[in-house]
Amino acid sequence: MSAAADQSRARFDELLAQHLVGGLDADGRIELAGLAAGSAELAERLRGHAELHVLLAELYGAAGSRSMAARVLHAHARRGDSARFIERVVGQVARRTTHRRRPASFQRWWWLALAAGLLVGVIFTLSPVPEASSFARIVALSGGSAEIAGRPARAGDVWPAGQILVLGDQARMEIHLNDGSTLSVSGAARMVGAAGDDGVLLDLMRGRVAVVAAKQAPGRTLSVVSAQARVSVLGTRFVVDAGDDATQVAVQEGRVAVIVGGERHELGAGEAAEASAGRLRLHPRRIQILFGAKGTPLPAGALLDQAKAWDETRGYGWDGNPDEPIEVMTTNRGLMRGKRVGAEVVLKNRKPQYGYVSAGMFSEDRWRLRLPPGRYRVSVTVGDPGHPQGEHRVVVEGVALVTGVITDNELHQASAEIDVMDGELTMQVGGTNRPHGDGSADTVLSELAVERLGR
Amino acid sequence: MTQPDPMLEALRAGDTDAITTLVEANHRALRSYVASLCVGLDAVDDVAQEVFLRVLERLDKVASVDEFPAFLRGIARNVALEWHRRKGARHIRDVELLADALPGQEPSSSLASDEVLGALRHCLSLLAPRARQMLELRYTEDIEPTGIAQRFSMTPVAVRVALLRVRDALRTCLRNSSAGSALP
Repeated sequence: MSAAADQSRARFDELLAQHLVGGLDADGRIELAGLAAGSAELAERLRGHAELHVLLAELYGAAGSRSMAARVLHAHARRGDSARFIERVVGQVARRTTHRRRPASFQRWWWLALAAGLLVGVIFTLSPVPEASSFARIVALSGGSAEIAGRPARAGDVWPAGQILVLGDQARMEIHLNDGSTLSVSGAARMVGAAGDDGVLLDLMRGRVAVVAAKQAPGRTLSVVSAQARVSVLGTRFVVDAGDDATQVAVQEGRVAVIVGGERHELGAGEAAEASAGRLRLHPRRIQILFGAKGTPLPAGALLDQAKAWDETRGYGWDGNPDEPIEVMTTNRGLMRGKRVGAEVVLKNRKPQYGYVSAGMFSEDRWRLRLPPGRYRVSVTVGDPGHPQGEHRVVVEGVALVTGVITDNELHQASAEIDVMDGELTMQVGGTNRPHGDGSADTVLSELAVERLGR
Repeated sequence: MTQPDPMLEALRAGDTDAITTLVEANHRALRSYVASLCVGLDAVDDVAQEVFLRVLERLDKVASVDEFPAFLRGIARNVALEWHRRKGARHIRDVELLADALPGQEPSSSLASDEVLGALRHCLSLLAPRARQMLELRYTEDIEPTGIAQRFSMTPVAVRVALLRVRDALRTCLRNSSAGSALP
C-alpha cells in the first residue's frame, strides 16, 4: 500500500471512529463520505461498520424491528389522516378558484371580464403560487433559511395549502393565517397545513409552533397535529413542541382540547402537559429549586440542585466547565463547610439550615431547566445570611434579573415575567470579576422559583 | 396481463400487517444503508422512518414487491441528502458519489433474518469483558467516549479507537459465522 493510501486509510479510520460515536460535524461527515467514495475498500468498511452499528443498537435495545414498525405505522396513520384533510381542502379551494374565474355574463360585461382577466393574469404571473390556494402568508423570517415545497421561502411569500414548509435549524418564522391567527414557528420545524370550511389543520411533523388563534367561527377549529397528539383551539394562545417521542403543549390564554390515544383532555391557561406513548402527563404549574449540598432543608415539592452537570433525565443542571468547578455548600448560618462538586459536605453535628451554590467566580456559568414554552414568573434568590457576598449577577433568558447586587449577611430576591420560547430556561450566573465580601467575585445562588402564567 | 401482487395490494389498502412485514423485512438493510451515507447515528432511525413513509405514499410507482429494496434505496438516498443539506453541509457531492459507490444489498441479505442477532450475541460473548463493557456503556447507556474514558482511565481518543477495533473484531467473527456470512 502506498504512503498516500496509508494516510487516507488512517484519516478514514479516525473519521469513522468519531462518526460511530456520533462526534462528527457536517464537514467531517462529508470528508468521510468523500474518502469512502474514492475507494471501494473504504466504502465496504464504512458499510460494514454501519451494519454492525445498526445491529448493536437493536441488540442493546436502542432500536429494533418492532419499534421501527410501530413508529412507521403511527406516523403513517397520522400523516394519512391529515393528508386526507389537506387533500380535501386543496380540492375544495381548487374548485372554488375555477368557479370564481368564470364570469357569469361574459357577453354583456366582456370588457370588464377582459380587464379582470388581464388583472388575474398579472397577479398569477407575479405570484409564485395562486393566491386562492394559499391559506397563510409569511410575515417575517430570521436566523436562517426556509423552504416551501423545496423552493426558498421569504417574508411576503404565501404558504399554499398542502405544501411542506421546512425551517433551517436556527430559523424563526412568523406566519399570518387568513383567519387572523398568528404562528411563530421555530425548532427546525417541518409542517404542512390547509384551511377548509371546518377550520385550519396544521400537521407539525417536527419542530415548534406557538399559536395565537383568532376567534373561531361556530363549527370551525384550528388544530395542530403531531405524532403524539392533536391540539385543537377552543379559543386562543398556545404552544406545541413536537419531538420524536413526545409532544409538549403549553396554554398561555384560553383553553385547548388535546386528544391523545383517542382520549380527549382540556387544558386551560397556564397549564402545560406532555403527550407521549399514548398518555398525557400534566406538568406542575410551579417549580421551586433550592441550590445547595445534600442535607439542605427542602420545602414540600421543592427540588435540590447540588451543582451537578446537566442531565437529560433530571431535566436541569449546569453546563460543564471542568476548569472552574462550581462550589456547593450547606451551612447553618455563619459556619460554612463545603468542598468542590462531588464531595460530601461535613456539618459536624450542626443542623443545616441554608444551602447555596457558588458559581461564576472567574467566568460566567450556565444553568438550564427544561420547561415547556410559555410565559413564567421567575424569582431568583442570591446571597448568604452568614457572610457578605457578591457582586452577584443572574441573567435569565436574556433578562438581567440580578446585576450589580452586593449582599451583606443577607438574601436578595428579584423576579420578572419571562418568556421561554425554546423549551429550556437558561440562567447565566456570575462572571462579573468584581470581588467583594470574602474576596471572591462569585454569585451565591440560593433559590429559583418558576411559575407558569396564564390569563 | 400481470397478476396483481397481493402484498402490494395490501400495502396500498393501508393494511397494518403488510406495513409491518415491509418494515421488518427491510429496516436493517435500510438503516445500515442510511448510516453508510454518513447520516448522524442519532438520526438514522428518523431518516429511515421518513423513507418508509415516502415509500408508502408512492406505492403507485412500484409494480412488484421485488422492486422494494431498490426503491427504498433510491428514496433513502434523497432523504439522506436532504438531511445533510439541513445539517449545514456545504456541499453534498461526496455523499452522492458515496451513494453510487456503495454496493447494493440483496433482498435475501442475512440482515433480514433474526439469526444474525443470535450470531452477534455469540460474538459478543467471545469479547474480552472490558471490550463488552465499553459497548454496553455506549449502546445501552448512551455514554459519550469522554464518560467511558473516565471510567476506564483512558483518553477519549483511545476509547474511540478501542470501539473501532472492537467492531472490527465483531465483523470478523460475524463473517466467520454462518448467520453473518453475507455480511461484509
